[in-house]
Formats: sequence, structure tokens, C-alpha cells
Amino acid sequence: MLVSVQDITAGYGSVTVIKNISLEVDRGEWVAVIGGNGAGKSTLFRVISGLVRPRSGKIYFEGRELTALPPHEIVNKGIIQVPEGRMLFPKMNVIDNLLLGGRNRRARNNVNESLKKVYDLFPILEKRASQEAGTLSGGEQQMLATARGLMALPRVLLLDEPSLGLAPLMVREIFNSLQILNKEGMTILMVEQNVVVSLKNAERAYVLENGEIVMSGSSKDLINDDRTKQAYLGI
Amino acid sequence: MDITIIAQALIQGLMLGAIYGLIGLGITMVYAITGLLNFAHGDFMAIAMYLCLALFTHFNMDPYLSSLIAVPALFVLGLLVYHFLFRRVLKAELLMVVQLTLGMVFIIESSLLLTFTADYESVPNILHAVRFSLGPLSVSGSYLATFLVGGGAGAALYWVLQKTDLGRQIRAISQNKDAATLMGINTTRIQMIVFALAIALLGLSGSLTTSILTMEPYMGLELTLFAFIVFVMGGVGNFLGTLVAGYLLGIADAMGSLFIGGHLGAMVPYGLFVLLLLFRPQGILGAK
Repeated sequence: MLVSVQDITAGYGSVTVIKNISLEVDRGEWVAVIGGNGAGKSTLFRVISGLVRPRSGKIYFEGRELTALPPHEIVNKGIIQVPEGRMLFPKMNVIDNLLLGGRNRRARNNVNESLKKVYDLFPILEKRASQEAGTLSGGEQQMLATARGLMALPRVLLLDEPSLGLAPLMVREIFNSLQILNKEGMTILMVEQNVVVSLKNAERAYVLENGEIVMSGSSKDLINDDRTKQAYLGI
Repeated sequence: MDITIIAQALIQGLMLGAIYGLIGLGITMVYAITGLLNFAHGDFMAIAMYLCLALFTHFNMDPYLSSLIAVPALFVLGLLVYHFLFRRVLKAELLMVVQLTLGMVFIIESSLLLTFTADYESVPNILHAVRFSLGPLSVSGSYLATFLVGGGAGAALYWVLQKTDLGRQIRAISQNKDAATLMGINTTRIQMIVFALAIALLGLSGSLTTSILTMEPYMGLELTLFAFIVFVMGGVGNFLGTLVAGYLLGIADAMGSLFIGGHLGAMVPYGLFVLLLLFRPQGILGAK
């Protein structure tokens, strides 16, 4: 297993947000964690990236424990998060945002090739190179956030709500690019509210409800499961 | 009014402005990446000036030579103050930070008073008596050196902030600290370096001005006040604005003391600040 989350409990102050979460991601897989607002999806990602320390439980990457590392060392290992709401550097231009993405220890010697690669994947970013990130459209910002993540040469890409706030056409464009990346071997762990898009793209999924995993399985099985249909697909 | 006198005042203003800009840039950088203000900021410049005084009295060392000691010494002092004091209040309430740094003001000022007495002091440097003539203008060498070195340091630092990886890291932390962490930036380390760098700049400002500014143990708080004015005038968190505001304040200061003089003249920079707050509260170049 590339990523193994074991029995993680975490929260803020006296509030527990996620309880006893375990999940695994294999090399080259695309795995989704689906659930509504407040289910604890972003907290799970903040714990994996080291921004929030778990109360209990452990996270392993290639069999080595991550849980005690500071966040920048977790990035240096190749665990790269594209955070919810994109979290771009709004007053910096597109290039500076991308360069910051590519400055971790593993990625910094590869910056020029990475730039070429993300421009191939998202040509609009090359046109916008000297524009401030805050002035881009929502779709372009999501592309920049994804590209900034790719600049870091991820060994696993954590995507937090890549479809949030985007028009359906833009969602399709982003996911087409992600499909290309995944076919080339990129491991993706994604949290999403959009169940249809998630189950159409990911191979496997976990369903998160009130901070706990209530269901998991292959996307095919989940899409045909009566409980998923009722609760999330509305059919 | 004689044009040469105005030109003389302008030159003095630019010299003061370069120093105000450096002091203000330190405040702006620290605020940008920690969100905190250090009320003892100016007192570290007083420490640097008294360090130059001590080196001059005991070893007859020229203040320009002393800067080679003062700058690294203040950098190390900055690292220590950050590590043992400032870092601990990063997540505390704002009033805690005010209390801590005001406490540092009293400790530093009282220590200077006990060590050096309350006498007004200044230390001449090698260029102090040298005068450069430019047509009808005559400029003291130490003024010129302060303008060139201080202004050059401000410009160099601005270049570092805009064009280098360190600068990008600093700007990233100031715009979104969590996102900066997710880029693999060791934010704790950068915060410590920037705090120490801001204090080291005061080591430079202090060494440059020992013959120009009169030192006394309580000078720090007034310097801090000027630094805060520059910080707000430039547009909070705006690096270029801070440098520009430094020059404006320096020129206002010099013009005020030349044309009005006395206490009323000393009010001119504050008057400029009040006018700016009334008509352009977002600062000269706007907040970042």
C-alpha cells in the first residue's frame, strides 16, 4: 500500500470531527472519499498533510510513519495536497504560484520540465503566466491550483473538492486532465461532494458520514447500491 | 527662498528617508508573516547605536567598521528574541504581544540607562568631517554614505522579496500561511529568519547614523513610532509602499525642521501622516 490511514481520530478543541477512520490507497489508484458538508473530509486531508495533529491513529506512506513529521517534510516525501477553495497566492502571478509549487526538495531540480508539462496539460495558464492569480476565473484558478500541485511532483495527489463551484463544462475539463494524469500512473486520493463525478472517475470510494466511514467499495458496486442511490444520488 | 537651501533639505530628507524606510521595512516584513507588531523594534536600533558607542570608546573603532559586528550581532540577538520570546506569543491574544514587546522596551531602555547613563551621545565616523561639493551644494560624507548604503540596502531587500526564492516564500506566507506550508515551506524557520533580518537591518541603520542622530536611552520608542507611521503610510504589508513612505516622511521631517523649526517643525511629519489617513487611509500604494 502506498498510503495507509489507520484508525485516525481528530478534531479541533473539544470537538471531534473524524472518528476511527481507516483507508488505503494503492500505487496508481484513484480513490474517492465522498460525503456531504461537515462530514470531515477536509479535516482528514489536513491530518494527512500534517496541518492538524490527530488525537490517535497513524498514517503510513510506503510503510513509513508520517504522523510525527512536520508538514513541510510530508510535502518533501511527495504527498501533495490541492486544498479546498484552491488557496492560491492571489497577489502573485501565475508563474510565481507555479514556482512555489515546485520548490520542495524532490521537485526543485525539475522545475523547467514540470512547467512545460503543466502548460501542456493546461495551455490557458501559459497565456495567463504574468497575470495575478486572484484575477483568474474560477475554472482557471482550479487549473492553477491543480497545476501548482503537479509542479511538486506528487507521488500521491490529494485533491480537496476539485469540482467545487465550477460550471459542469469546467468540471468535465478538469476531470479529463485528471484522467490523463491517472492513466500515466499518478496516484490520486480525492474528497468530493459530487458523488456522480466521483464514482464515474475513481476506481474505489469510501463514504464518509458524520466523521465516520459508513460504506466502501468499488465505484461500480457503490453506484448500484440501493443505499448510495437513495442517500446520495437521489434515485 | 534660496533654492540651494531647499536642495540641502531635500538631501537630508532623502538620507533620513532611507533610514526610516529600512526601519519600517523590518516592521512590515515581520507583520506580513506573523501578523504581529513589535513595539520594541526601535529599541534594537538604540542597542546597535550604543554598541557602536562602546566599541568606539573602548577600541576607538569607527562606527562603519563596527557595523561589521553590529549587523551579525543584532541578527543573532533577533534569532534569540524570536526563539525565546516572540515565538511564544504568536498564537496568543494581541494584547499579550503588546505587553511582551512593551516589556522589552522597558528592559532595553533601563539597561541602556544603567550602562551608559542618560547623557546625549553621538559617535563621529571617518566621513563625518568630509564634505562633498556639487555645484553650490555641500553634503556631509556621512549623510551621503547613509543615503547610499541605507537606500541601497532597502532596494536590495526589495529585490530579494520580489525576485528570489526566499522572497517568494515570505510573500507566500504573508498571503496564505496554510497554503505556504502545503508548498513545503518551513514557515517556522522563515518567520525566525525574517524577524532576525528585520533586527539586523536596525544594526545597519544604527551604525550608519551614530554621527547624525543623537542617542539617548529612551530614543527607541520614538523610532518605533516613526516605523509604525511608515508601516501604515505605505499601505499595511506593502513592501514598496513602505520604502516610498520612508522617503516621504524623511523629506517632511527635514523640510519641517528647516522651514519651521522647533517643536512646531517636528510636528510636520505627523501632520503629513494625519492628512494621509484622512484622504488616503489605505496607504500610499494600498494595503497588500
